[in-house]
Amino acid sequence: MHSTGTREDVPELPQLTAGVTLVEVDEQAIAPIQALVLDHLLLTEATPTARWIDVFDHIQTRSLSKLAPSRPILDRIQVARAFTPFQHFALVEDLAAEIASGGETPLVVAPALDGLYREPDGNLSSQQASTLLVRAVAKLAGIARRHDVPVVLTRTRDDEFSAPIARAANSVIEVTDTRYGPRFASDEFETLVYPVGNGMIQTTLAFWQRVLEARQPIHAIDSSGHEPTMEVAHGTN
Amino acid sequence: MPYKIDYLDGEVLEWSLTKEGVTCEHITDYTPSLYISAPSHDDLVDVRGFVTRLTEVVQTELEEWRTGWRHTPETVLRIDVDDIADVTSVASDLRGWDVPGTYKCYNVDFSREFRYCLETDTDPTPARTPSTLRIDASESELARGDGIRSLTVGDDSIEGSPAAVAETVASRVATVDPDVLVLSASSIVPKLFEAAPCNCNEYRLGRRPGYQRLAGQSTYESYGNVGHSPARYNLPGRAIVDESNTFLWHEANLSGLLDMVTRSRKPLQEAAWASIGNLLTAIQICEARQQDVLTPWNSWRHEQFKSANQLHEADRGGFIFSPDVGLHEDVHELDFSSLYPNIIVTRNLSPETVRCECHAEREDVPGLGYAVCEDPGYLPDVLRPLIEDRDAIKAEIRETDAPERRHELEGKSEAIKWILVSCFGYQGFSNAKFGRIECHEAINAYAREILLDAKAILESNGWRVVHGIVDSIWVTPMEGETQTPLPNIASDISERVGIRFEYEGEFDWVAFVPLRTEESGALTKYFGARADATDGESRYKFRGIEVRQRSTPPFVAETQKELVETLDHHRTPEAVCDVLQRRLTELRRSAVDPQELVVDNRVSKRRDAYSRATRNAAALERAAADGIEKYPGESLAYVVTDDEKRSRERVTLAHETPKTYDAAFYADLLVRAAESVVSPLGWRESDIREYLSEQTDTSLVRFC
Ligand SMILES: [Zn+2]
Repeated sequence: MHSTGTREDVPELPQLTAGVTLVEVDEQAIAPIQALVLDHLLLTEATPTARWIDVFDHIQTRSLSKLAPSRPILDRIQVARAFTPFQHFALVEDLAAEIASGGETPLVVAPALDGLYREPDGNLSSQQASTLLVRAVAKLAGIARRHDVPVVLTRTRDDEFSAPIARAANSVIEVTDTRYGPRFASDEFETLVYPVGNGMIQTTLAFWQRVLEARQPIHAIDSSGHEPTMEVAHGTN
Repeated sequence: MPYKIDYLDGEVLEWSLTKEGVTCEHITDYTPSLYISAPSHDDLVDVRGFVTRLTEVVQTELEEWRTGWRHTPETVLRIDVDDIADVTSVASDLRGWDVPGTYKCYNVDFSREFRYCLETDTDPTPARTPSTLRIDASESELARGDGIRSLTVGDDSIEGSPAAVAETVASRVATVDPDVLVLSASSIVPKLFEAAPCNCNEYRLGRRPGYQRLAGQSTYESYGNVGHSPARYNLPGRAIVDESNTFLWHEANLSGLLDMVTRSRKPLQEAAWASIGNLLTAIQICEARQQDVLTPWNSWRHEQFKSANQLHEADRGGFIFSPDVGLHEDVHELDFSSLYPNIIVTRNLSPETVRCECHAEREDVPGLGYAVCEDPGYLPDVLRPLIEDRDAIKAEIRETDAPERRHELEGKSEAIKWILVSCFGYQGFSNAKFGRIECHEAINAYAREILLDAKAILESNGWRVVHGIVDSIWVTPMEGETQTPLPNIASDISERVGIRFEYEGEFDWVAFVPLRTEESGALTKYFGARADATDGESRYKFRGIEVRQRSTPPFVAETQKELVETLDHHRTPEAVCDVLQRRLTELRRSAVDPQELVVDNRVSKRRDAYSRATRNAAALERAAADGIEKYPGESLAYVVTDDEKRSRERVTLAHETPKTYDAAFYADLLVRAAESVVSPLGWRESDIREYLSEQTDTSLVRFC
């Protein structure tokens, strides 16, 4: 068992910066995204809240709440779910308008951004669906650009249809499973999140729980769930 | 009042029933309308210029309508099109005209007859009970390439060449002149027309020559279930009820169907093929129209942001108090009457009242803290009459002695029940036109709180809760405590909650069945013996166990009932296993009629989508070799003849009159059915097999 709390043992997660970040994950894994979001929130001031535009129940509140080092942090993730491409598009539009009119947010997350547009209903042609997706991507990129907000996106597949998402990204983080644990790779860094256990691939909830737990001493959350002022040096980045 | 609307040769025909027969009125000036809204008046003027150039468009008009329940009236463009088929194509054009979402279309995807009734303010309730005639052709007849050679019309069977059959059916239909044709499958219509000896344009099954195809066949998904909807056909002047594609006809009856015609304004033919979701939507569209609200084509309205904690809370689902596995004596069941609809009505829950903007500071919904508006919502207005009418109908059923009247009332009650049961799920269904997930969550949160309160009150009055789910609670007396009489507690809880909490019944015993592989209880598997069963009522109540499952063969179902009776009399697993032993012997001696062993399954995917050699796949292959193509959602009946095989020899289809069966396969089913019965007493499959093997006749063992 690793001892936690010493600097060397702290797993390294890439820090999210302003701009559009496309996270390419294997098999639609959502735990790495959840870990990035929680980590980012732990590093920012207690208010305001992140915005998560959800599809296909990627938010997985059950695992998210197990992953979170404290319940109050979950009050700082605001979720709205879309079930049709129309609802998704309207959500993106309304969020952009709200932030433009002064609503603050430290982070916007839109997993599987292309997902709903791929299976249009209500007689929406695939051409129209593709146009809607392109405009949704543009809106999200606009939020990142105008308000200096990190916007985290994932896509369900790497193909022609989702290419607009890749084109809009300022940076790409690739998350791959290795036999030592997940590896985050981008132009600026390459990080192995520390291997828990004996070198087996660990993408399970328990694994991410321990990653965040291991980082928690730095964030030093007290029992009331309050985070003291930051005095934290962060990973390699 | 017309009961059937036809669109024929550029006219609308209104067919109305009279005492003597039927009348037909020709309407020449009806034009269907759709509506479009835009961000500004200038945009509307722009689009109007574009629209008027479309050849399908007859006329446009600027009108004041509301585009949502709480919206103030705004100017929108009404677009009248020439033909009913033009509505969707014009709407599609408009949506693509500018960036998506700029122009929003309303009143687009209505069914044909419903649209006419809605726009012309027509009540499609027939003036008298319509007459019916049934035509039944077997699946194998319909699968023949060369036409139908045998079918029944009413009570008469007709046989001959396809042309002769077609001619005889037409003359029979003409003589009887029914208002409604009840067909075992709607594909009978094109088959007869193709075989007709005279020109297709002359041949008639309706009250005018010819027929129309309204929609192709399709597979759809609804509430997570895959269904198949066969092609739909229309005959002028008669309504068709397609028995392979109707919910209400099966679940209620003609009276129930007619009751829904009045409430939904969907004429008989459309109400017959409608799903419950369709009917609920139609009822809401009527309410919307009355309040000058347009029906959106695509719902752009999304849920509001909520915290991950709130979402986690909202996702917890309904009230469940895990059953205390085992056999309990002296059990009483109490239910909230129509809990979900009553929560909607008494708590004013409606898509536009939950998390309303005008009372954002309120925290009404337990656990979630959502606001609920102080102003009345529309959904309670829609449901209140349904709840009240059903109560009145049920009261009349209790009073009436006339069997015919009772049958009528029961059909109505069933039809309304289905609407009420579905209204909660509908709110959470993403594609429901008037659904809203936050409304669904709020209903659920109230339900949980209500059930938890009821549980606490029961416990403090000396009753132990042995199981609770959704809207029902089972209790048994707490040992060493005195019990407040249940009717008193029930009326106390009813008063507090504002929803009737009813004493449902007394059981001599109830057995809660554990999951097959675990100790914990399966949520909805139980059976029990009523203490207060009246004449004509079954003493036993079964839920979730094999006898209630559609696919269970009759022989297995009957045996399981027998095992439960045995348990009732002897209360020991040994006695149950002795009866099981006798039935296994019958199986082994091939003494069971194969028809009693028919497995009736629902097709879940297309034949080519099966990657594994399952029994269903074998049956589908067998049917296909016979020319019968089955679609997801359709039923598939077969006897397992050799479960070792992976080919289509594994099964025999029910209509092939199987002569043999695989005794070992059915023995397994029997043992499983027996396990459900004895597992509340702590016996598992291995205990059953051990007991059976200890019995004298060891040759039995290899069959179980
Ligand atoms: Zn309000």
